[in-house]
Amino acid sequence: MQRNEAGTEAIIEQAAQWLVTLSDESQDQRVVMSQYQHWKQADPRHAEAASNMERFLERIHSMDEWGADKSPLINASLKAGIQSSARSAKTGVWPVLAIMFVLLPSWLLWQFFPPAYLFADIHTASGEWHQQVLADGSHISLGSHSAVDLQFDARQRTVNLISGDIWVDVAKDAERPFVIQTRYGEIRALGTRFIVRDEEEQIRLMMIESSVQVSNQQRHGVVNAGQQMVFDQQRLGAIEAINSASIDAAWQSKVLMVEGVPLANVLRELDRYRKGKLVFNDSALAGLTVSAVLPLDDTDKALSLLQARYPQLALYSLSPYLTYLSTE
Amino acid sequence: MSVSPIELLYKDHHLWLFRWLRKRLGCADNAADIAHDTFMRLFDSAHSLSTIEQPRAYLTSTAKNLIIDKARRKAVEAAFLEQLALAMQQDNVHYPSPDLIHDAIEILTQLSVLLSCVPKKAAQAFKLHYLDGLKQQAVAEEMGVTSRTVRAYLTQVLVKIQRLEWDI
Repeated sequence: MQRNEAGTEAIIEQAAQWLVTLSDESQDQRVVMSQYQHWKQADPRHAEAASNMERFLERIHSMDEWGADKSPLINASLKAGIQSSARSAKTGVWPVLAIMFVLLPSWLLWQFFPPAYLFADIHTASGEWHQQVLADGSHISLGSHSAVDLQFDARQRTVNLISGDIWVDVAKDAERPFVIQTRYGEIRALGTRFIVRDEEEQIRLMMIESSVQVSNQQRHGVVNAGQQMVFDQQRLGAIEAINSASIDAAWQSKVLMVEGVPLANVLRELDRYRKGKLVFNDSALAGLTVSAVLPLDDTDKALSLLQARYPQLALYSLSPYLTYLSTE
Repeated sequence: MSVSPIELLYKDHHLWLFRWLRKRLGCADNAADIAHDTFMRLFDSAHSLSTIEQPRAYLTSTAKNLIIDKARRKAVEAAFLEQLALAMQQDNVHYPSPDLIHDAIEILTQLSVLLSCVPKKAAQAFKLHYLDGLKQQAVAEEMGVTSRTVRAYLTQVLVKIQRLEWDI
């Protein structure tokens, strides 16, 4: 094998030398030509080795048809061709991969923790709860991956909900209204207990005790104990009855209570409480609804409870930070 | 952390592809570029990487196509047609047949690959002799070398034609 390859190399070299000799004006062309033919006939590999070079040179000579004007044509074209890099863009795979590896973590960080979240007065990580008594005696409790800014002054107590959900038990203060500001509107209370959740496309308000006034850009509305309402910038949703005592208890005991809620919504909520990411295909889960009480402080357990209820769910842990859920 | 298929493919095959290319092209720079481009092509292609059954065959055929890449062909074509238009304005030359133009662009593209993959002096000798039609002795004088050296240069370029494995 080794000798064969070396032999082929030698033949190629010889073929090239013959061709160079053939165009050497100092040689007798007729003699060289007959010797060359002889050499080619001596071994089929000789002819084969020479054939590509011969044809290439023939094609070069075919450009003689262009006549005396061929030089500028050839020179300009070759110059352009040689200058043209074989690379359409000066980026290899490694630079691209390197950029991905450097940017991906910061992109993820940005996605999970936008600046407002990072610089908020109080924020919680995934799967973390935080309770605090504020300066006025009000109690707040932040759910997983939530953030608030506090702004208390002589006239008003303002809590700015940046993301996630907050449970509030407002201390009475007739002089200073207590206001929760959300991305779509504000909730004004005098003394009351309620939960506000930022669901990104809307805000959900669940009243446990007493009442609040909700205002967005267009409307005002009142929500009383045992009621819930969702709202966004334009609309205030219909008032719905809820079991406020069990919602309150569920919050305190860190469980998710759902009744006839689409499975995808439940998974999204569990995802919010997980350290890692839960990936699933919404459309594959269409039509599946859940009524359950699921532990939010142990989402692995919550997922296995769901799996017991829906055996068609398959969970794959790709890494501690990524769980993929599919249907079989 | 899981490793992506392209990373695995890159790790497993980049080195030999680079060596394969360098052996054919002779110039490490171009070999590295084309090896990179081959993998970039995989990135872009709709091919599911895990379904490529014979990565070596796939990579080499992709790399071969890239050696004469489209960008280079376009550059040659543009320069050729521009020069041709200029020549026709000045000399009232008849417009050559499309076949003739096509063949010329083809050979000039291959030539530019060939000449950019051999040492500059070898490329110069080859051009002076085979394209400009200078006799070997005249090339030697022009370049200030012996005719023996010119012969060596020309041989070197011809051997390279064989190495590039073109279907000529």
